[in-house]
Amino acid sequence: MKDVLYIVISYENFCVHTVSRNLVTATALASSSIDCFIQGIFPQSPMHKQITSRDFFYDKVWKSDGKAALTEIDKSQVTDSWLAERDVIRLRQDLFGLWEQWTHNALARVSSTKWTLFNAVAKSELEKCDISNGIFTPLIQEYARVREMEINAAVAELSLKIDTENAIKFRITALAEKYKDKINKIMTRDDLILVRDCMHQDFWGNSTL
Amino acid sequence: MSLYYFNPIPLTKNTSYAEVNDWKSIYKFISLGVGLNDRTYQFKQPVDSKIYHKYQLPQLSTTNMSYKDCCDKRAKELWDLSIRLQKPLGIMWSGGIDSTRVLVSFLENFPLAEIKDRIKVVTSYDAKIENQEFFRTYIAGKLDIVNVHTLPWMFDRSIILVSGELNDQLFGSDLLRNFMLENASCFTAKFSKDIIIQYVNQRIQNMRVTSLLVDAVVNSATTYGITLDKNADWFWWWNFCFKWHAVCFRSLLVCAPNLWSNLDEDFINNYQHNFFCTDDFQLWSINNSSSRNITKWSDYKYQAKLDIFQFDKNQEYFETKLKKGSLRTVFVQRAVLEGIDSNFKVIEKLNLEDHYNSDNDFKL
Repeated sequence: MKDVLYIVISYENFCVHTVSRNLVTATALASSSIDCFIQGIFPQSPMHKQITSRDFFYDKVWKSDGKAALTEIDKSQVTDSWLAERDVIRLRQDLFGLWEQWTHNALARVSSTKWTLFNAVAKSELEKCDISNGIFTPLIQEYARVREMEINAAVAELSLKIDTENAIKFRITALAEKYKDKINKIMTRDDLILVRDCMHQDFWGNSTL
Repeated sequence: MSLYYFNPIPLTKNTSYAEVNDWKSIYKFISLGVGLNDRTYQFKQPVDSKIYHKYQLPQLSTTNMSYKDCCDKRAKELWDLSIRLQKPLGIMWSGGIDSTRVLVSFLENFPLAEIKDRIKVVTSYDAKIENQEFFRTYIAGKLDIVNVHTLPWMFDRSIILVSGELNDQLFGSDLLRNFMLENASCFTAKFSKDIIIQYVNQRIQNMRVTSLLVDAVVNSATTYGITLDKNADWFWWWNFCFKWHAVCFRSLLVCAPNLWSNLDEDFINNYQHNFFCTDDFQLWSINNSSSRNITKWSDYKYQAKLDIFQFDKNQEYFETKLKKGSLRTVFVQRAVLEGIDSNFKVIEKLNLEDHYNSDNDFKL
């Protein structure tokens, strides 16, 4: 693992619940009623090499000093309730893996420009145009010229592109937020199956009507 | 209470009725999300469903109308409705064959200046990608565009929605594509129940249920008064008779909650139209089996493609355009209703206990 690793640390005893390579998943895990926070472990940290999977924090108990150092402590030093919380976070992390994949895949399907700021800039340019009076910004005029389109057609195409992508991405984000909350309420494997099935239906199932 | 529309997924979950597992398996053949409804009432499922009178099969008869005649007549009918209600027509355009044929019907029959005032194109960027030339030539900068992603809020009677739904049902079925790939030699061969059973059972994996479904489609055709001559006809009749009704209702499923009370008989009759949902089109389909006798998949919906070509002269689209599902753009990642009952009351969450039909074909 060469990327920053994000560990989820309990406020109760500063022991580590789990680790994720994904910042969004780590913050999602930390946004539940379980009192915890995240901390990045950078590649230059000596700990970084040792952490090969989340099992590293399951086989043993590691305590943070609040900075970058982690110290292994004996299991007897943590409470049973903390260990149970760690199990719950691990269970939720299982489903957050799918949540992350499905959100990513859904958003990827509507990501049509290499330059991620394009839609925001184009929207701002379109807002500066006075279409009914035939006034267009230089960027919009150039877009139409390069695309070999009538300027009104180019404006219609751009507006449609921006509105379509924004609407879909907005909806996907709402869905991701909905399931972040639902996953963070999971306590058992049965809960997980129920939420997973609903999440699948909401992400993909309705498109086969 | 009988249902006009049901999604089988919730109905087949957590139920104690023994026959539901068998019933569920018929949906392996299509998709679990599409509630079948036999328009001849021969096929009885464990759910109490009903056909809305407007979507019934027509009285069987011959017709001399061509596909183009039907399109022209329908465009004029909807145009007149728009004048009568003083509301614009919102033509849902995905760039595919069906919805392009719908737009062509209006473009051929009315002057552009009047179309500009009367028609809004309900579309998305995907549609532009699917049929770029048509978008550039006839839509962009010429007609008002409404983003299809605001569809849930268009059920407010401010616009008359017109979809390109049901053209698939007139020409056959998208299921024919796989059947054609796997059974090229017998695609246009004389109808053989054994071949259909073998093919369907590869999906369903339950011979009792497969036979039940295959027989139900054959019996319904016989009851209505037509003969399935070729293997492809079985797929057509399944789509035409069993799937038609669900397709008629499905665009309503995305309606925004604050507009649910708008969905009533008046709304269905005036503000939501599937362009190809007329007796003329259905009789054309029944009387023109040759339109389904194709030997390659690119000829699917040939007549519709030919009409489009004669209008826009886009050779590439005519020769290479293949059917592509477009509805997923509208439905994916969106909350949808699970049912609509025969009083047009929407149902967010369906439960089989509330709509169980004990007189069904699936009981052992």
